[in-house]
Amino acid sequence: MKDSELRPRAGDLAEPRSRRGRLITRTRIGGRRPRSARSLRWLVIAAVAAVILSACGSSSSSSAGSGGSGTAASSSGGSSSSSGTINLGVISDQTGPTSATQLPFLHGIETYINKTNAQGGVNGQKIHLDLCDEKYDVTAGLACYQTLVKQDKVSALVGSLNDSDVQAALIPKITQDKIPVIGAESTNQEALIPFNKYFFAMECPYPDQADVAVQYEKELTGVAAPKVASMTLSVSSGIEWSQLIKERVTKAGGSLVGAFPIPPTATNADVVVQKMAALHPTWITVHGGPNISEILLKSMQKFGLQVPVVGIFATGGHLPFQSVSPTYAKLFHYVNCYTPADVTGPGTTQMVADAQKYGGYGAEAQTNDPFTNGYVVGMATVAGLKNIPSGTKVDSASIVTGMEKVNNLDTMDLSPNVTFGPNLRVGVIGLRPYGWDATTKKIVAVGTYDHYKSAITGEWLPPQSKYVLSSSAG
Amino acid sequence: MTAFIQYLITGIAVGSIYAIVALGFSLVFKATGVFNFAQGSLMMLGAFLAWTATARWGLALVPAIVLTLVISGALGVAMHFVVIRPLMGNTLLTLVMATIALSLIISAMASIIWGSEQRLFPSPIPDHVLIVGGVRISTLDLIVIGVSGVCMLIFGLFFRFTTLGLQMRATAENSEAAVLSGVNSQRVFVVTFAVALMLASIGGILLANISLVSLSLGDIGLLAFPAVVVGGLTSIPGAVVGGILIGVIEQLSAAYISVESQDVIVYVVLLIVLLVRPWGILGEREVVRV
Repeated sequence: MKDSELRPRAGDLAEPRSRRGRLITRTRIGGRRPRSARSLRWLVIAAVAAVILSACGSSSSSSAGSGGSGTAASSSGGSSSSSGTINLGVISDQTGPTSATQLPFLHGIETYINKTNAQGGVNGQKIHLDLCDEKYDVTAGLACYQTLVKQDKVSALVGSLNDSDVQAALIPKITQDKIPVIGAESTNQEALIPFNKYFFAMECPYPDQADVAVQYEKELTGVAAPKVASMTLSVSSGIEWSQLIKERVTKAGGSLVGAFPIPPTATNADVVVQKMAALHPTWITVHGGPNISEILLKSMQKFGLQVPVVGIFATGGHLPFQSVSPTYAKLFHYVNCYTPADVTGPGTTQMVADAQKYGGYGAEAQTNDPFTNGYVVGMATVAGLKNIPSGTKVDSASIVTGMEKVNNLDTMDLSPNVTFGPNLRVGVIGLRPYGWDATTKKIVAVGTYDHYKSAITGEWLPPQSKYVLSSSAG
Repeated sequence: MTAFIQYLITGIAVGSIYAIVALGFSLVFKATGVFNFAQGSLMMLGAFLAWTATARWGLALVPAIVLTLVISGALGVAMHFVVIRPLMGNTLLTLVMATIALSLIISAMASIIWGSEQRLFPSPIPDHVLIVGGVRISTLDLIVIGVSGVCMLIFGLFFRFTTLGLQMRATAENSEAAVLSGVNSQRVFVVTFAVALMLASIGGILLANISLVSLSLGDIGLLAFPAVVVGGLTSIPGAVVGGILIGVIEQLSAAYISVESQDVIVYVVLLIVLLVRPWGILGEREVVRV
């Protein structure tokens, strides 16, 4: 029998070998292994450790993204805005559970920044994006903030604090440190109430989304006082969404007949749909990502529940529509303040071309709604920087002033026009529903941004930041 | 009653997937004493491989599955030779850490290769609904249950009636005695890992048909851990029973307690089993002579 066949199982106890070298009892092998085996073992361990370190070493990265373009002045981090560069930080989920939406969002920002740098930058200064991966984790988000703001001395955060829990944790710190945050991918109420000078919101706030969702379903169903059921992720923003829908529906004389939180790892919504079916809702609302709307629609198809569904902006994209038959795909709409690339127009055409040219993200821009969001955030950020007079030091204070001067920025119908002001911190006001055309297999817009603007009240905002709902904007 | 039956069928469908993955756990543990924490990530990898073969390379479903299983088997062999075998003889903690490291590596590599975008598995499997006595049954659920059952039957027959299967069982029962009886334990370990990875891939492919192909499939695969422990770490039939039980408990707790409670209840059950019958439902109590 070969010695190699006597290799023990894990955890065996030790005892010397017999004279013939055989194991007699359950033993752990003592003594030294042959040198080649020891070397191989250490080589394997070293290789594994090296791969783990490189795979996990994604925090505090200062690269400008994976697009391969070097024009975003990627560097090894460094100081605050020097005479040649404007240093902006990005805290986002690049490898965690929401990276599927946050990465396209980040790439949209990078695309527009890369384009700006390729055209000479802003007042001769190139923009550098200092990236940090928060992995959808509050602790990691806080660590990123410390790194970018305290060590790397970035002048502002762009496309950051996209996780509602990270945002809630960092709002007090950005206020204390006077660091402007431009274009977070989500907007908590506490970021705007009380009025926060440093938070420039560009994601359609949940209250506005709720206003338009309720209005759209009222027009679609013809029922002014509906019975509504809600399925949301079991996170704080999900609870907020259900509450917002409940307030609006109750005000209209209807009721929220059921609110069902669902874990992010759910593989089906069968139980939720069966419970909803028993409640006979007029329509259903969904919160989460495309995987959540997908499992909802699939379960609805399984149980034959044919009622309209309206979701928040993040529930959209191609996947939910493509995962069910056209009959059920037709039932689903989501509201968004950004125009997906499927909706052909000068803006989307330009955006997709830029995406390919300045980052190799053409395919991603075509199929991911968050890309448009990021691209417009990039547009607004650059517009704000351009408002800083040439020769003026670009720092946090001047960026706040510059952003306040962004007025009626035309985004080529990629969104409603962007407007901030000394007392206005919600830059994008206006949403519309998006649905699916089963013939062309593309996302289609329902109406214009202007059409649904009347539904948006902005009542929830602090008095000094009330909306100015002008039809000239978008 | 109708609703209860529907919950039960959904639970059995999801539980069948857990059972397949749990079977791989149990197999590796029985044969080598290694608790393979990478099994969830390997399930995710199998789903991505199958997606690549169908959506990117244009293969039909059956050839794509065969290719995925071949690649998975090869990866299992590589995993044994590169990671497990050099570390055999070390403490259990060392081997556990190695499998955790492997799990992280696989997740990271998948993120690099395929990105974080969720994908729809281009499955030709019909997703119709049968109505039997008022109970709505998805054909997809039936197919998942059927395929899982067939896989478990095939592996059951393999273990029982083939020489290699017998050798694997012998090694799993008592590796020293098996070696003394002339079993080539190294070959058995290699085959064990290859089979375990193939089982993980089958689980991943089935899950991809009812959900989306994404990096989070690895997290779902981790639910097979309680399935193995509940069923019995040293029992292969126990892994199957444990998997189905966990799936059913998930659905029933979501239905009759609350949706948020489903994960909590699963781990409460796990704790109860560990306290009352730590060797699992079908596991054997290990008696050690001092």
